[in-house]
Amino acid sequence: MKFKDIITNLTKHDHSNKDSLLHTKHTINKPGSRTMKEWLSSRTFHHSSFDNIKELLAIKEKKGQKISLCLPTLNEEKTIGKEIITLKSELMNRYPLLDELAIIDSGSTDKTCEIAASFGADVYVSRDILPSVGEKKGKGENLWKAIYQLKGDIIVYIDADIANIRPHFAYGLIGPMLMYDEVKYVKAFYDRPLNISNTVRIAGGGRVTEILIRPLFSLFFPELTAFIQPLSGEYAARRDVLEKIPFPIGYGVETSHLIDIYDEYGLKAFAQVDLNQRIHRNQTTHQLGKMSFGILQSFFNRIDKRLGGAFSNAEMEKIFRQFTCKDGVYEQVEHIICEEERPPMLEIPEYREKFHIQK
Amino acid sequence: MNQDNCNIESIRKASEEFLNIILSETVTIGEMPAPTFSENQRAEYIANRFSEAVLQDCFMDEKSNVMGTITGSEGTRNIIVTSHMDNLNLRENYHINITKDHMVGPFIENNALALAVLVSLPFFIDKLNLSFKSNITLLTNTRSLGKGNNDGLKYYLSSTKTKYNAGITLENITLGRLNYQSIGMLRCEITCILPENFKWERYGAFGTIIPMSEIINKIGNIELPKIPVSSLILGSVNGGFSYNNISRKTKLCFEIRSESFDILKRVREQIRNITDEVSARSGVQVSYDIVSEREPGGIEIGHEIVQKVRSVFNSLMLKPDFFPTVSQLSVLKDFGVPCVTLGITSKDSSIATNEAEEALNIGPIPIGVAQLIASLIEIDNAQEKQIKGK
Repeated sequence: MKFKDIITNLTKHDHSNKDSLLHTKHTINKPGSRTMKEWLSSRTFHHSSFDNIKELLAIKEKKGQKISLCLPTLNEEKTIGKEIITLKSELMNRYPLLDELAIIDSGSTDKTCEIAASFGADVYVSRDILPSVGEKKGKGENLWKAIYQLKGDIIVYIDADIANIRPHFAYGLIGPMLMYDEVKYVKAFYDRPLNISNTVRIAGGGRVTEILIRPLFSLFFPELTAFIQPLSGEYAARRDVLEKIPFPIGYGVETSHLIDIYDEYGLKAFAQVDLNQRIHRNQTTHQLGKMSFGILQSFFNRIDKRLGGAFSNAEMEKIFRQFTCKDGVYEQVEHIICEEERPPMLEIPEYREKFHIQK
Repeated sequence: MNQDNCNIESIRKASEEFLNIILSETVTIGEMPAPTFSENQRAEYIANRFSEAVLQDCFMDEKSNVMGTITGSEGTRNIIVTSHMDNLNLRENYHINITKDHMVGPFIENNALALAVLVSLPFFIDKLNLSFKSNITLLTNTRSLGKGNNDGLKYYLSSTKTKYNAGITLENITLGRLNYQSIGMLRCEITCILPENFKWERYGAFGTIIPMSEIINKIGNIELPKIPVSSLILGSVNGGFSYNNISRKTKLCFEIRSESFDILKRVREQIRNITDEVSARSGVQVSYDIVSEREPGGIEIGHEIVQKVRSVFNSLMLKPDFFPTVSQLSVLKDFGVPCVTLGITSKDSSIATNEAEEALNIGPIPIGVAQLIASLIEIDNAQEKQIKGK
């Protein structure tokens, strides 16, 4: 079967039909359905709903939960110190909501690790974690290895390039997890002003979200369109969920999390939290093109599984082509982007051994 | 920890553990815009912190001053620790970066670090398990800079019924300062304006810049004595808006400082004569306003507060830098509160990339915090003997 034929076939299906190629373990609700509306109203929060940190701490202790915060890093010396100080002082020194705060580094060549260590974060280099499985480059790799390295029952992931970090970035994500047992994964959303030459412009949703993810979800996973910013790099999840899902090592990790957890548990396992503004580095359209290419690979891998491997015969290109123009001459630049995936952590023997899990 | 067995070394070590909290608070407070007369965002944040720390009588007054009291075991005497909230930064969005050794950001020298230390003081005192005999009032005040003329602090001190026996005013920089005397200061604005009925045929098309430059030259020629120490600081001059339009308004901001109030008064009158003379000769309107004024004064170097703080400096191997200051010490002095001014860290001018960007050294901060806590302990003990102001 040709790739384009598969796409054509897929888009012909009615997703509310139980016989849909995309059927999951739970009932799919149409967008705009009562369930989806209920989810939006009952599981969309503002971080200020959880600003009573003492109360969160009491719930955490009562439930006997451990919480780890992971900052995946690669050359983040400009912002890492501030992130660690802000989160550690409020959520460890003042209120011990976090049990550990660690960076998982991809091999920074600047002072990221030195600064992080000097301000009291645990510093791990990704390649040193689970050496038996080898080393792969990508943010998803760091997130996956964090499951092995960190001890928390809840793991909070926060990007390390946030200029306006505040404690609510962490407790806003932890709050729904502690207060609602059925919530297994909490996603952040925000206004996204981009930092350009010291000025700030309001940019609505992210570009990749609006022109790639939202159309794809609308076509294949309509309920997931309820996420305001499905690609946000800040989220918290329970260990017993994270250990069961595969991790794309690159750009596709956030998208695949949503699809895989949705498949298993449905929309009710999610919550989303408004963290107000997030000020971060801007990315060029070319960079976003590469990101989109990686996301598409992870996305179609998941579609493929639902089709019983129908894509296996289709040729999925790993080369992403873009153009440059120099002195009036157009030149095609090829980027090899292969969105590899790590298996569910539960399949790694060292992990089962460390966490005393029977096979 | 009881004061008697709380030695300076244990306070210094604990202060190192508090460093993250101080840096975090500095970033949070420092990134809140707080131009003079619009300090509300900082005030609300600090009020929440004071309330969280369960300070006694925690409140925000009409001028947005925020205060709270750490209750003393005896409570018959009172110490005030204060710092101003306003700064020069008018921008809505700006960021403070933290490197291994520095905090870098716009106008960071003024005064977020001092506020962070003050706001965190209840937490530190609790962690050190310290108790004081005196009540300790923590006050973050508004309207200190420029035309604010310390109105926030003056308002609080004139409206409170509490009689303070001693005070510390806290500044970001520089660690090692031990000010007990306030230098007299006049903060002035001279504005040259082209009147509607300006007689071009009589005075020519010079606009307001030429008369202002004449005023500046004449002010520069005023003789100031070396003793008592006196100085003139020309802060800023703004006029006109293009290459080929005659400037219709030019404004000069400057400050005169002297240990002698008589010299200040003499210079003030000399400048008035200069502005009158230039106005008459050039035909432009010249206004001369004193926007802020402080009289010199303070306590003696032999005062018990100075001596007690000095002993803390010795224990921390800090070399005290005595100089008359333009800090808020003068306001407390005017209300009869014997007071010193302390700094928390040093600045690093080599890091700054532009006029607004400033850098503070992180390294000295624990010593700065230890100095404050130990000084409070010493002053608290000293108050068993009655402290009297000058």
